[in-house]
Amino acid sequence: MILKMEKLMLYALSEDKQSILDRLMGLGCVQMVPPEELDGFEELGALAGRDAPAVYDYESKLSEVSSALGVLKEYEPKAKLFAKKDEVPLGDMLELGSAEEALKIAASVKGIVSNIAEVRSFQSADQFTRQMLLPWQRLDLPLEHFSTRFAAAMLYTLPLSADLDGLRRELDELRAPLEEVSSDADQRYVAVIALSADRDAVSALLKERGGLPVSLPELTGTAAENIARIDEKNGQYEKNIQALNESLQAQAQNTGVLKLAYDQLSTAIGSQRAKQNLLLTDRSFAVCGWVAEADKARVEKALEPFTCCYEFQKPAAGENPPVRFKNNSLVEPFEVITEMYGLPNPSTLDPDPLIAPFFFLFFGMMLSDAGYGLVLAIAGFIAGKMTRKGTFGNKMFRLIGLCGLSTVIWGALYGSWFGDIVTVFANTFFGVSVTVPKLIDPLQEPMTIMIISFLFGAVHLFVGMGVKAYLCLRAGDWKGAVFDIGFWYLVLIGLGMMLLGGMALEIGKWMAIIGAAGLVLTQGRHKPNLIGKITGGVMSLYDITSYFSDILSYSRILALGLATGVIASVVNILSTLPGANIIGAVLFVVIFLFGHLLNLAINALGSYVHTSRLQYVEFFGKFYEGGGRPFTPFKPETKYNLIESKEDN
Amino acid sequence: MFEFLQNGNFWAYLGVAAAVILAGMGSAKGVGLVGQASAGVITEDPDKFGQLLVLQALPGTQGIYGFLIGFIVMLNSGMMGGGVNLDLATGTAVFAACLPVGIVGLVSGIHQGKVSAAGVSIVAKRPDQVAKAMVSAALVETYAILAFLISMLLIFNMNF
Repeated sequence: MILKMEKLMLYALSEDKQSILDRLMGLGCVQMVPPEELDGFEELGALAGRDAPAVYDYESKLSEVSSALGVLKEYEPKAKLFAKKDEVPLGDMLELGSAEEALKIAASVKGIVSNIAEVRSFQSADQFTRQMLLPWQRLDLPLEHFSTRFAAAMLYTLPLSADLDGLRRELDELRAPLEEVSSDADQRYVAVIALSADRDAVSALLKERGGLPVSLPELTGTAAENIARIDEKNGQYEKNIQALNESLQAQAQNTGVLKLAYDQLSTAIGSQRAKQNLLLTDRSFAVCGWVAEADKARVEKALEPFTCCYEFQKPAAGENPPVRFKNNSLVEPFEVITEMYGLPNPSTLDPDPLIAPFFFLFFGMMLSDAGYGLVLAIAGFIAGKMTRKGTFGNKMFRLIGLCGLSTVIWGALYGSWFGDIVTVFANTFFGVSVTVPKLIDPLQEPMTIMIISFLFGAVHLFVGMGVKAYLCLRAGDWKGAVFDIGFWYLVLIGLGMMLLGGMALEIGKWMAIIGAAGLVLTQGRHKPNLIGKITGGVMSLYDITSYFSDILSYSRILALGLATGVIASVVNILSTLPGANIIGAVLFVVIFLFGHLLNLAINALGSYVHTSRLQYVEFFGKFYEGGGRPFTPFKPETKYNLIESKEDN
Repeated sequence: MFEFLQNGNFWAYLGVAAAVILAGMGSAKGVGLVGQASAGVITEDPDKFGQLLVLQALPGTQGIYGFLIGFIVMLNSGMMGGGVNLDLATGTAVFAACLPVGIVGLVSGIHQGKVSAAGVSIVAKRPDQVAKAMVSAALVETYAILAFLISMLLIFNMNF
């Protein structure tokens, strides 16, 4: 059901502001209303000041902490699946106790990261030099002694196509010996020694032959010595980086402080943001918020110690209070289905108790394999136990568990346990024939299942129409209930009875005729003139096609059920093909596991999507009115820790 | 030279081929479209891979339906055992029965892929609304399911 909401108007003294806000945050059951949405805000606005939230400081700290966490994430020890989060008392969360230490850690992490970056940049500069020196490795001339008073060594690259011998002869005339130091796939690396006086002539000649002058960095020692030096230094760098990485790893062992500080800072930011919703005078403040009727007592108890004045108002007509569901533990998991569609208008009703039985039924019929159902039920309920109650994930896991149970029931009725694996396995490996007990075989009697599907579908649609009629009656619109829903009931039930034949055919015929006549007479009632009324009434009969297509839509229950069963038996046939020997047994296990896992994944997804569709399109289409806003209470926003749940929070 | 057209077996094999090929093509195209669209989102936010994988799997069902119809024909007609000998009437009937799942699978697979690929941008911008993208895609799949159902019922009710 949708919880009734009331509006809390609270007036209190400024000196209690922070402690009252902390109490409300701890309660986590009040959704603050921005003053702009209040009636008469324009008049109030002149009287009351507003807090400017001081979040900049917190946010810059939060980003420091979060970037440190981001760096440490890859060094952290792998978290266990379903690891429980730490529980922290609310008081600790409201204090920024860990922030200082966390910022220190964050600063040191930042320092390490920038150290690593610095070492890496040295390393890459050295590697660049090394690349430059590499072709000159065989040149046994110290790099600092390239020229004397009378002669100079000149380094050039030449294209591979250059005629080296011809060049040598020409250079000989200038008394400049040329030595090829090395060559690679692109060019030759040559050294030429020339007299100072001939330098220009030699370089002009080399340039003519496509030579490009090379200048090496100013280093001491030969190229080979420098390369060795760089390699030695590189080893040192690698060691440094490793040491720095190890210190990051050491920091990552203890991210608890950072995570706590992260949560504390985001809670502080939330609290600062909430202050925007307060209206202030010099000595007092006012705040307005939505509270569920059921939580009123808790709010009253929390406000007891303060000097304050408050009242609860029922929502005024036309006001749209936030929507919060409250259901028993069997129905609660199905709330996620409604939440995914969009919340209902708070003036209508919570569809979850109605969705629950049909979703349960249809999902089971679609997946319809007891083996798959067991897998889903066990996995879903275990994961449900591991997660915290009330969260989306917890509801989803419990939904999977419940749907798994339904699947077990239908699978057992159809005699399908991982398809027909028992029969096939016994036949292949032991040569005995085993039959699994079953009530109905969908492969032998698909029409029976189809009719059952249509019947369930008809009931589903009728319930949806009934809800519409109920909503009409509750709003005092008896005409809507009788004319729009009642007559259609007559027509549809009458047509259904005509299929049975015999006595039922006669009765059904008259019911359908009376219903149709009623529809023709009443469906044009909103039209202004007589012709409009008549055509409106007659045209309304055309809606029969939409009822037919709605009911036919439930044939997907049969189709998906058949698909699961047939794929499962295909997997079983394939898995037993290799035969009854050792290799066959190994292949059997592999194909069995892989095939059934794939089938389970695809068909569980299909069943979920198509069961949802039947709820959203066929069922909700009959009565649902959207437009509800989710209930978002003011509470600590934590990511890594949980708040200890205690009554006196 | 067209004697093979008088052969029932040929038509039955052609039916199996049509169901598997056409529906498989539809799914391949559809799944491919969604895969291309999701790659862009995953480069920005690799954590959304799970949700996107679900969307990508949706247009894959047509291919499975086609495969199933093909497989059931093979099982029921004895193609698996090798001893298949169908008269012309049965063979052509099998071929006709395979057409719904093949043709509707081809077209709906592509269109479901387009809808799912559009849903990828829902996941990119509002990942909490992924269920709506899934339901939109499932609306397209309805027609593949109906075609699958008809093909299947036709083949179940055939006397081989």
